[in-house]
Amino acid sequence: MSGDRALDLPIAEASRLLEKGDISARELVDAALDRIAETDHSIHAFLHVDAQTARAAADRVDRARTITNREPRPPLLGFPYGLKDNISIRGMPLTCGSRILEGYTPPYDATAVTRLREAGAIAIGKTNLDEFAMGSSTEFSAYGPTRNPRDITRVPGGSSGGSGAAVAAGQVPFALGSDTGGSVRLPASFCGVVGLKPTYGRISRYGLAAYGSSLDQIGPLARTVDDCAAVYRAIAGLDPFDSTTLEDPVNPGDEDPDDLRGLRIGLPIEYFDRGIAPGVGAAIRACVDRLAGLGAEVEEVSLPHTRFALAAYYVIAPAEASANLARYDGVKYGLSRRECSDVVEMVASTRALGFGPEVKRRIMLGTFALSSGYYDAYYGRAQRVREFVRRDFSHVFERVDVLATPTCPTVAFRLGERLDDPYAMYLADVLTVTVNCAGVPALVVPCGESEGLPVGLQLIGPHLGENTLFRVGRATERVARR
Amino acid sequence: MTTDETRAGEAGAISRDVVSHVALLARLALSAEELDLMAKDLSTILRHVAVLSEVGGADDTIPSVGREARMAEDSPVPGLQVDQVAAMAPRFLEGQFLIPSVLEDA
Repeated sequence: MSGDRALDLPIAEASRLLEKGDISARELVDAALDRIAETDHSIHAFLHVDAQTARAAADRVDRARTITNREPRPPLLGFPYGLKDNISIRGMPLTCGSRILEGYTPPYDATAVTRLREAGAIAIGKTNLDEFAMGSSTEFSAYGPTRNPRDITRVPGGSSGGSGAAVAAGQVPFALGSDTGGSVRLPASFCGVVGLKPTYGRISRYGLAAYGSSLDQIGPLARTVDDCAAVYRAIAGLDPFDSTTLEDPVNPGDEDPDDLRGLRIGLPIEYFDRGIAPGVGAAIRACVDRLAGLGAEVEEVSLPHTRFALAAYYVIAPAEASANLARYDGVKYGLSRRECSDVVEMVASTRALGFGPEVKRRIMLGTFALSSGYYDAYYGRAQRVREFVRRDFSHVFERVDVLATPTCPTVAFRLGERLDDPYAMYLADVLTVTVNCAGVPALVVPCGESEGLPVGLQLIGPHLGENTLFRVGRATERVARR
Repeated sequence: MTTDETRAGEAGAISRDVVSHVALLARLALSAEELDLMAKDLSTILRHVAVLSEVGGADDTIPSVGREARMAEDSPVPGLQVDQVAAMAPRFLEGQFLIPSVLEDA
């Protein structure tokens, strides 16, 4: 079998071919590089590709395989992947989609990158994103937008749009993204791939450029739920470099996806009455009906504070961003304005030159919300809402095992359609931000189409409920194919 | 900020003067055009955010950080070397970052 055909196989299947010697890691990496060369001029998923290093890593894998048969075999041995360009890897530039980091190459690896290397995976390049992960369409990248492989007149979702598009275009079997308010799940839904926002603290944030630190999580995007789970299990777990990581063990899950008897699925009524496009709502309900056909019990539930969550999110995330992005001052690394008369002018003019419009907007919004006289009215109330949202989820997970919702009210919208209206862009996140506010996990799985474009089912689980999500996600894949 | 400005902010509108002050706090040198656009955009966003004022609840609902902070093991690990820092810095001399003078006649 050729590397090109093997690149489209599920990871477990291609892994068996690698193990038998039917294909080599070099063939897989070359196939990925060829795909990128063939397709990326129209999609622009990648900001940086390091072919030489990736080929050298693949050759090392192939040489080692012929010398020894390592047991246990690393689960992702020989597989190329892309990573969102807000995640650090030594030797590749880190731009965060921003001009302010021009010329910066991190001297260290993110923990997720270290763990993928230990699992045998090969980083092939950095994927495009909205600047500092602030956006829902990947149009706010300083290096130009990414386009949706399903229809290049449409956005791929954001902010991990490069990762979603790269997987959807078959350039790589999986990619890493990050999710602060929906940034893994929107691209997964818009591009028709699988994406996971793990429980807060499940995956180390060490080496991830901070945006909203109490909300940020790295998450994998892949073609199948099993592939997504394999990547998640390779990178999840306690990390001494991130004090928010959880100690709980990462367990394998192997329950039968064809039998959902005993599983209780909740449909939150608030997620179906917020301007959901009819085709999207219909695809979600049809899929849930089929899951019920596998034995799941389905009931309507209520998360009453959902309507406040978007407002709370767009206070809390910008507030944290305004503090986190204060580090970009033109002194230590990246862009720096010269010939300024004083330090304040140098810092302020560097930041004005280096940050794009959406980042400036969020820094301003966050600074305003935290400033004297406004703090209680905005940040204080937003934190209160966050707690109410968290309690809503706690209560509902006493009754059901998993929630099923649309990921976004619409399918992928057209490039440029929402660029002039910030709040219209924020509305794309209305069904995803609650999950980050509560810190619970959510998995997006393609479940159908509307207007000829993919619709993603969002499955939300309780704290550390990833294995339940994978089980229902695999069932979703099966019923969606029937 | 004045009481009037506070009320204006709570109502969801934000004046150009307030935007200008916030830009100073945020260390963003915005152009006159950007200040006008920012006042318009932030006012639009804050009008939507005003829904937060409908939420009641006592102060005990403000969340804690979460789990108790865990102490890191007290063992030395290699840190960044000066030459690595120097390679990243826009201006660096004799182990120090260079910035414009902060003292007159320095």
